Amino acid sequence: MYVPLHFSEPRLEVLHDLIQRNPLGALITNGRSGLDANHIPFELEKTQGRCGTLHCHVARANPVWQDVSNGEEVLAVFRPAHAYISPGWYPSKRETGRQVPTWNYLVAHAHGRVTIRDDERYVRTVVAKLTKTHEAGRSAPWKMSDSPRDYIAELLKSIVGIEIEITRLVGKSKLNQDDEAADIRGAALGLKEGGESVVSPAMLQVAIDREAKR
Amino acid sequence: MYIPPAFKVEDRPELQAMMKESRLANFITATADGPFATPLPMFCDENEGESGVLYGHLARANLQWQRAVVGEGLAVFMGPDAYITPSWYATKAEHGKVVPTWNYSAVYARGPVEFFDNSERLLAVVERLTNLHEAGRPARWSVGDAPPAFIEAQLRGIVGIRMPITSLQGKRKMSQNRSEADREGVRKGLAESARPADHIVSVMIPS
Repeated sequence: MYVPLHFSEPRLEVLHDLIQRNPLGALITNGRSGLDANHIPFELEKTQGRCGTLHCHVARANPVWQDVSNGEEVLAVFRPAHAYISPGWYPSKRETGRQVPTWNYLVAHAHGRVTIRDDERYVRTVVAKLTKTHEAGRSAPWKMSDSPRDYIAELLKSIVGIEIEITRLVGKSKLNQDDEAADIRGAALGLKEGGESVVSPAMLQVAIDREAKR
Repeated sequence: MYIPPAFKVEDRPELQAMMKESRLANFITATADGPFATPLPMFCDENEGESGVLYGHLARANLQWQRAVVGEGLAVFMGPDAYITPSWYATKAEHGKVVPTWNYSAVYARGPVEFFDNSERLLAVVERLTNLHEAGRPARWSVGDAPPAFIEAQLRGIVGIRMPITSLQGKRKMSQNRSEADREGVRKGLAESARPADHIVSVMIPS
């Protein structure tokens, strides 16, 4: 991914947090049948490997797990928030008119090596972890043991695990960092007034940080 | 991509609407150096070509256009998504044979990729993108609002993408395969969720 320095988000903990808050990633593979994309909820093990390891499962009928070979490079894209930025929101537009639209977003690209885990113990562990993660916070969290054992056992046979050891985690926070503080603030407020609530506070923080440096 | 029949979207207007709603695509190409992916607003000219043509533009400094593309490009348009707890299913109380799932929608477009930097063609692309995304705004900005020399300089900083669509597939996984009672439970659960994103998915559950 093209990441100019001012848009770079290198902090591992920030990118890990982004992935955990927005776990439905697009798994991009380039296997035997060419370029492909699959949307899968990922479970991140932050301390496994240098940059973390992603775990997931796919339906056995999904060709992807047979399309790639162990050790192959894959890419998982996590894109949680994005917004169109109108030049109408920049104060400088009124002064000079020298502004164009742009698109802001927060994204993490996890490059890694894939290992296909077609074994019952692995997939059972993955779905147990995913369940625990996503049921957390519910007043009566559902557990796998709430379902009949043989039902779960049958379903586990119909899925295959995929493990991705992250070798490179690239983060891009595109939030007008190359603009003047007043323009960033103006655009953040314009966005917020339209009801947006993820990109606008991040942009506002960039404006605040920029103003503090002066 | 894996699209079971229950979740397959084949209706052309529906696929176009899904792409339009998604707005920001993930533009992916395979190169000798591995896959490149760029988040990119793209629009589809439905009247051009057999199945429509996707357009966008990259920053000139983006290496993606400088690497020879191996095979066809892939543009992925993602819709809203949400975790679906089995606690929302009416059938959970009946027989307990339920498990969690994830609802989401996506459109996958493939086609041969052309990169171009002719300024007239680039101007056409940015004008169309501008008109698309400024529509509905009270004081719409247009390319003509900026000084022409400034726009010309900006156009020199981008490279256009043209991707005639050879394959367009859509997946809408929104509990269509569940019973009416289960769907009602999911709809209600999402609507009452503390997460605003869940409310968006709630209205996508068919009645």
